[in-house]
Amino acid sequence: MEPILFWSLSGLVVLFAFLVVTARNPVHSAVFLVGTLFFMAGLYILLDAEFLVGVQVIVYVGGITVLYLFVISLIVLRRIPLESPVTRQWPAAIIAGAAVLVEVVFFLLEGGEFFERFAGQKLPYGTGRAEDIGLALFGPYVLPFEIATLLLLVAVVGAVLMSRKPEKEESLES
Amino acid sequence: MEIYNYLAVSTIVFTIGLVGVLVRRNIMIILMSLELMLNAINLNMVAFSRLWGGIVGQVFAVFVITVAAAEAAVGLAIVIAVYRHRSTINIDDIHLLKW
Repeated sequence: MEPILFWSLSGLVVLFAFLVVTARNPVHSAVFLVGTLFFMAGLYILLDAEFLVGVQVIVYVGGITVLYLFVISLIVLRRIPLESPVTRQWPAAIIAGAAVLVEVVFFLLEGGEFFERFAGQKLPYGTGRAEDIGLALFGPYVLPFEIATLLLLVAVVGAVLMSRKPEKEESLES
Repeated sequence: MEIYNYLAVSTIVFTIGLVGVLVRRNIMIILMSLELMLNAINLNMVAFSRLWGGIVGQVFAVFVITVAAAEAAVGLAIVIAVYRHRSTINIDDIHLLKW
């Protein structure tokens, strides 16, 4: 059962990721992004990361992609010409992508023994229940947690400041 | 399931996101490709968390999701500000810092 789920979910993830990049309309891209993130959450289930599944669906699917759709609806799409799928960046992008792919595959093949060396060593906390993640977040990782809250505060203030309507003298200048 | 399959899926999605960042001219789709890359990294971390029997990878994945949320908010605010000033979201037309 698990191989069937894994192969179908990963195939869907790759397919939707490909569609995100190749769709001409940004709205379609955002909808395909929802699909990618949702099926990625399915892969998390197979990896026993139940808390992350909830976080992924709530934050990514419910929050970030809706933010993207809001911004797309703020920007009037009719004034933006659809870009042609064939641009002059394609050859360079294919070369760069192939280079990264070869590099990562090489390290995966070479690093196999290193990965296995730590396999199965049980660390103090169990698998991905919310309780374990919470204990880890408020135990050894409380300093990064606080830094993350500070980062979110800065991001909220910055987003509000940058996206507000410009003052009158500013708009006269521009 | 073998852990290398998850790493392979993560690598493929990361590469697709990278090609998307390099190819697309619409800044919204570039930001979406960035989200794809961050998600691929998350899958990588969760897979290693499973392989090594610890929870560290999942904690880091939570942090990556936090940073991705902050990045999306600030990036989209910048997009709105740029669109107000220049009336375009094509990055070929936003070249003030390009030499």
